[in-house]
Formats: sequence, structure tokens, C-alpha cells
Amino acid sequence: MIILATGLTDGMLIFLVASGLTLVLGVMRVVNFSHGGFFMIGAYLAYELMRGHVQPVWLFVLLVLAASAATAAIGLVSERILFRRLYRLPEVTSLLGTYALLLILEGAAQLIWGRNPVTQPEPSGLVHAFSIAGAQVPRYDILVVAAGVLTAVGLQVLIKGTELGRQLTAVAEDRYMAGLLGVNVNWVFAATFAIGIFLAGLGGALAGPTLSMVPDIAVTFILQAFAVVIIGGFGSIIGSLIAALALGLLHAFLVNKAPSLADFSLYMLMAAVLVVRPQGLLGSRQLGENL
Amino acid sequence: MNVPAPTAVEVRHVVKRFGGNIALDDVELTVTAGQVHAVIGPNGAGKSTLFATIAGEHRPDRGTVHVAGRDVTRLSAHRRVKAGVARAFQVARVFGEMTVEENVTVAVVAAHNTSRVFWRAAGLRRAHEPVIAALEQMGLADLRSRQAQALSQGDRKRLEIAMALVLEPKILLLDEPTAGMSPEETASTVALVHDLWASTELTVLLTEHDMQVVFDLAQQLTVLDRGHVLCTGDPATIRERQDVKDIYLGAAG
Amino acid sequence: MTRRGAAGLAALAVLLIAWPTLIGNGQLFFWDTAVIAVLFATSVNLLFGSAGIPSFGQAAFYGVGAYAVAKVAAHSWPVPAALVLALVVGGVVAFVTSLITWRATGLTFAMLTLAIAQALYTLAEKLSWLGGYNGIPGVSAPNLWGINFSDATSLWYLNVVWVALGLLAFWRIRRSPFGHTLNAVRQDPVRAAFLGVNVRAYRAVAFTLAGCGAGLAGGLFAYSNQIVSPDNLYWTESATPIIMLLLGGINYFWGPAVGALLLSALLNYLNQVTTSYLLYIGILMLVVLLVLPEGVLSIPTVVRDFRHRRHRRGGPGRRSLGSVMGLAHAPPDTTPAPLPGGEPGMAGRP
Repeated sequence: MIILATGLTDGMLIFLVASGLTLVLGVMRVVNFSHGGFFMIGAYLAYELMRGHVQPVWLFVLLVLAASAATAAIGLVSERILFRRLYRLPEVTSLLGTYALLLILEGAAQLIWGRNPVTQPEPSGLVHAFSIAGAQVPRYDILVVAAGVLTAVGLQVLIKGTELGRQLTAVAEDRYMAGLLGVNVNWVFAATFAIGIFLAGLGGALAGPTLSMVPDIAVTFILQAFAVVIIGGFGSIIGSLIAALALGLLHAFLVNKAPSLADFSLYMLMAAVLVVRPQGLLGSRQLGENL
Repeated sequence: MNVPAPTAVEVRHVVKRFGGNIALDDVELTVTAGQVHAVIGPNGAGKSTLFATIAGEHRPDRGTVHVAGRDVTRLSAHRRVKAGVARAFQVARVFGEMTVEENVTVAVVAAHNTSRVFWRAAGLRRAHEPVIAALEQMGLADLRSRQAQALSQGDRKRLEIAMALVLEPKILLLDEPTAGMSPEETASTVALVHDLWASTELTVLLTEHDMQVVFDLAQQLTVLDRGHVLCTGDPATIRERQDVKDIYLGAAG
Repeated sequence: MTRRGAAGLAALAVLLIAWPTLIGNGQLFFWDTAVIAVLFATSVNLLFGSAGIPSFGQAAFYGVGAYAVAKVAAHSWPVPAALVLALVVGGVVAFVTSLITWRATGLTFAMLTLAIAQALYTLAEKLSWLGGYNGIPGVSAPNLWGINFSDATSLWYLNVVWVALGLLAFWRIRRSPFGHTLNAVRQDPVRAAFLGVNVRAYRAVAFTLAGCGAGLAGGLFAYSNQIVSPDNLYWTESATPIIMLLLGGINYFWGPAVGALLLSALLNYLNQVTTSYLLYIGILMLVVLLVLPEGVLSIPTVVRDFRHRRHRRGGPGRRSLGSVMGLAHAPPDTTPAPLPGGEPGMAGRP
């Protein structure tokens, strides 16, 4: 049971990051390496707002959302300055450019907050654990899982049910045609990016209480997020969800049963899926596929 | 084996699906060696898919492809080249950043199997003569130092054909060789293909929308319609057939 | 080789031999790392620049070479043997990696290489046989034919000789039929395949050769740094040569070398003045990517073209790191091309 809880929680956090990544990748065709940087920024901004003190739940949620919004704002600024120039370029240029942005974000965080780990405790009321089926399940996990489910559902509703979602889909399919049909592609890009970065920041802010915060979490999470996006299949949010949960569960399982292997869970999952099916679980083609 | 097989290409019962769409439905095609054989049909008939299947870009879901008597159905693209298939694309694919000469060098070096040598440059020097010969044969010699991406479409197609010929193929697949060409370029391309056919044992399989080109060049004609072979025969007979006229008029209407 | 080229190389050789006297033994350590970086970056450019293979995990082979030397140095293996071992081990691990990534391309491939390098990093941290978290200290080159490598000058010559050999090898590879074919594979893998080139196999060979170069560089690093640790396998170690390529220019054989020297100097300086060099490296990388995408070595060309204000013969001009990877869906500023013939099978093909 503890495996299930931890696995789902970790998986949901990764999913939050990965969902934003998939969105940006699918709609804008930009490989956003810096996404992990925004995750980290979200975590640090939340920390900055709460300064390591225990907060009541409602305030915690509010501040998390505030941190996410702030992160999204930073994201919008970088969209204007950097990403606009990357849209027409091949995917690998955007990989390198966003990689540079990742370095910048991590470097800035190092300068501002230093390299030593900081911690942010869970909000009051969610500090302890429930007892479910004989195991201690941290209450905070419930919040995270709930957030993940809300996001998954919310994204599906957004994409399938709203006007913005329809425009997103159109632009993702064929941005040229969408432009001809009257869609304001630039605006759609900005909106998509804002949502994507918001999700990254949200993931980071929520992840704060579960990990020891150092700037390098930008990289650990980006690797996992990318892996999950690719394993799940290019452009598939449900695929990312499945892959993220699989990863979380695998990791939790190994921590419990074979701890020395736990750190390899990502690589095992990648090997298991990508070597056999390079386009991912629910994907139809590889990104950048030629021959 | 130096005795040319009587049939250059045999396509038997080939079925190819993409998703729910059947692109090729039980297609049969026999190309006699040494002939120019054209495949025609309205848009969406499956011509490009058929070519891609013969060249090895796609594997058929069912059926077989034989080239020069050999079953190549399971062979990947590069192996089919070794089996004697050379392909020119509808939109000519050349190596844009390289000069014309360098482009042909790639083909020569690949054909002579020296491309795997990574420790010395001798193979490239030895390729020089065959490259120049190939360029002269195609009339590209004075363009040899031009960067490929600066060439006109017509010149690019000639370059592509030059590279294909270097491979000494048994069969040359030409995908709409005169697409996008001016009347002069079209005429010279037709003359070129005609000369190739006349002077070598090359088999040419081509697809075209320009009917005049087809009738100027082809000895045999196959008509495709929505993935089926409608008929095969000599051009004069085919052009008179009502069902052939219908699919073209029907598609236009 | 041209007369000018030969003269230039001769001058360079004299400079390298005289270097310890010119700058004094104390500075040599920095220069050791700089020339090793030159070799490492050049090996990586076989992938990015020649073959169009986006590998973000080359540190795996570099680190593996370093560890190989560290392990056998403890048994006093002669230096040449140890370095050859590092080269071979780097190549073998690279070959295995190419098998794992055989069917992957593009982003999937890049991520797999990154993941494999990180996996090896995690492994190195955990295995006590490799010294775990702390790595293997005390790596020193045993005396060879009377040469004592604890003398900084001798160590310098060791590095220069082996780096020169490595560069020569990559020079020849680039100029060989294989190198020419790789170039073609990078530009249009489909076209190359239809000329009879087994594209995946060629990429695997290139990957292995680059792994050998990286392994050799790692081995040299082990002797110079005298400590090998898991950090040598970390993703930042893979990123550094890539930034060097970007900086110097991937179109040029000497691009990675120039980039390596520049970046090494820059990192050396930055480490002294700030705690977070990442920030400045990131900014540098962005500036180069956006302003001078073809690297420092393209400055003469850019200046000349600006002066003459002409379009270079050959259309869209030369390439930048991003545009050459053979992974592009479309060249810049074009809309998606109409599918030829409207047939479903052509979807996704450039």
C-alpha cells in the first residue's frame, strides 16, 4: 500500500511536469529543455513565499498557485524573448536554445538561493499520515494525487471541450493551415506556453515538501519528464500519465523490494519501452524521425 | 549471372494498408526487362505507394516483389539498391550542401563499396574518374562545382539520375520525372530517358501525369485506379479504352 | 597538404614543444585540460557535425575511459597500454549504446544517450569497485622508458602527443570515403539509403569511433587529473563539448578545438570570479546560437559577406548546429510542403 501511495504521488508529480512538456511539444513543436528549470523555479518561488514555515492548508494551496502563476509569468517573458525565435527552426536548435535557458535558470537559482539544500515542510493538517490498509500513507500525498487527477481531467476538458482547446489542436496539426483559417497562432503559442509552464511551476511548488531542494532538481526532473513524454508517446497526454505513473510505481516498488536498483528505475523503463518501440506506448512516430 | 532475367520486376498480389486506408489492393505488375514501363492513374490511385513498395520504402502487408528474378520483399531499402533497384524521387533529393561532383562521389563510393573505409582518403581520389565520366554522360560536367541546392529543378533531376546510374542498376524507378519542368526541360528529359533505354539494358519504370511523355517513352502501360490495376497493355490500345477515359474524367468531375 | 598548411603545423609543433618553458610548469595543468578538451570536443563533432547524430551522453565514454585508466594505473600498466585500453573500452561501450539505440532517432535518441550516461553515472556512484561516490584517487602514470610523468612537462608532452594522434585520426576519418558518406547521411538519410548506404550501420560505426576518441580523452584526463570520480560521467560533462562545438563552429574541423580552448579559458576565469558559472555559460550559449550560429570560425566569412553584401553562391547559405542534424522537418521559413501525390504513405517524409 505504501508502494502504491508513494508511487502514485511521485508519478503524479512527474506527470504534472510532463503534461506541460507534452503540451508545448505537441502544439508548438518546441523541445523545451528548460521546462525542468521552470519546475525548479516553481519550487523555489513557493519556498520563497513560505520561507520554510508550516502553513495552513488553504494558504498553502493559495501560495502554491501564486508561485505557479509567477513561474508562468517568467515563462511568458522568456517566450517573448527567446522562444519566438525558435519556432521556425528545426527541433534540435530549440533543444540547444532551451538547454541554454535551463543553464541560465539553474545558474540564477544557484546565485539567488545557493547550492545548499533547503526544505519546505508540508502544510499543517497534512503533515501526518493516514492509516490505510495497515500502512502509513502520508496525507500530503492525497493533495498531490488530487492535483494530478485534476490536471489530467482539466487538460482533457480543455483540449476536447473548449474553443481554446480546439485552436490548440488545430495549431498542433498544422499551424500554417490554422493561421489561414483565422487562428491567431502567436496568441495560441503564448497561451499554450503559459499553461505548460504553469503546470511545471505547479509541479515544482507541490514537490517542494517532498524533496530536498537544490537547483539541480531542474535536471533530474527534466530527464524524467522527457523520458515519460517519449515513453508515453509523442503528443499523448494520456500516454504521459500512464508512463509517469508506471515510473513512479516502479521506483516505489524497487525502493521497497530492491533498493539498490531503485535509482535505475527510469533507465529500466526507458530500455523496456523505447528499445522495442521507439515511438513510445501511444505514439505514432518518433520526434525527428527520418529513416 | 550475366543473362538478364526476362522480367525485371514482378509484383504479385501486393496489398498495402495505411491505417484504415487500402493504398494497394491485390496489385499485380510485370515489367519486362529492357523496356520502359509506365504506371498511370489519377491522384490517389496508389502510384507513389507502388513505387515506394518496389523500392523498399514500405513493406507490403501481403504479396511479393521480385527484382531480376530475386525475391526482395523482405529486403530493406539499401539492400534493394544492391539488388539492382535505383530510385529517383518526384521532388529530386540530392545532398544540398555538397557540390554536384561531391554528390556523385557519394554514389560512386557507395557503389564500389569503398564507403566503409574510414582510415584514408584514397577511395575518394579513385572515385574521381568515374565521377567525371558520370557527369559528362549526363551533361553536368560544367556544373560540377556548383552547390547542389543552387541547381534548378531540372538539373537536380539530372543529378539524381546521374547518381542512380552510377549504381549500375537493373531497374530505374522514375517518379514523375518531368514534374514541374518547362517544355524544353521536359523534352530533354524525354530524350535522355530514351537514350538510356536505347543504349543500355536498363529497365525503366516510371509514373507520369504528362500523357505525352508517357506515349513518347513507354512500351507498356499499366493503369491504376484506387489501388487496383485496371489494365495493362501497350499505350496505343490503352488510350482508346473507355474505362481508362472514364476514370480520368470521373476523377476530374 | 598545402605548403602553408605544413608551415602552420610546423610552427604549431614548435610552439607546443616550447610551451612549458614559455609559461612555466605551474600553468600546465590548465593547458593539459584544455588540449584534452580539444580531443574530446573533436570526437563529439564527428557525431554532431559530420554524422548529424545528436548525442547528449558522450561523457559516458569519456568517463568509462577515465575509469579504465584509473583501474589499471593501480596495477602499473604502461601508459600506452592503458590509453589504448581506454580507447577500446570507450569504443566498446559506445558500440553497445549504438545497439541499444539502433532504432531510435531524433529526440528519442538524444534522450536515450542522456539516460544511458546518467545510468552509468548512477552505477559509478554505487559500485564500490569503482570507488563509489568518491571515485578513484591517486591515479598516476608509471615511468616509461625513463620518463617520469610526475614531472609536469613530461605529462604535457604525453597529452600533446596523444591528442595529436587522436586529431590526426579524426582528420583522416573526416576526409575518408566513410566521412564523405557520413556527411551525405546527415544531409539526407533517405537519399543515402536509396544509394545503397546502410544508414543505421554507418551511424553505429561513427558512434563507436567517437566513443573511442572520448575514451582516449578520458584516459588522458585520468592521468592529468589524478582523480577519477562519477562527476566525470555527469550530464554537465556531456554538455561541455557540445557548447564547445557551438562556440567554435561545427562546419570546421578546427571548430571544436577553437571552441574548446575558448571555453576552457572562460570556465577557468569564471570559476575564479563566481560560484555559478552555469548562468554565464548559458547566456553565452544563447548569444552564440542566436547571433553567430555557425560559430567563432565563421566570423571571417560573416564579415566578408557583410562587406560584399552578396548572397553566397549556393542559396540559403551554410549551416548552423541546429539546422544540420538531419532531423529537421523543414528548413527555416518554409511552410509544410504539400505531400507529393497526396498519397498517405508520404506523410512525415521531408
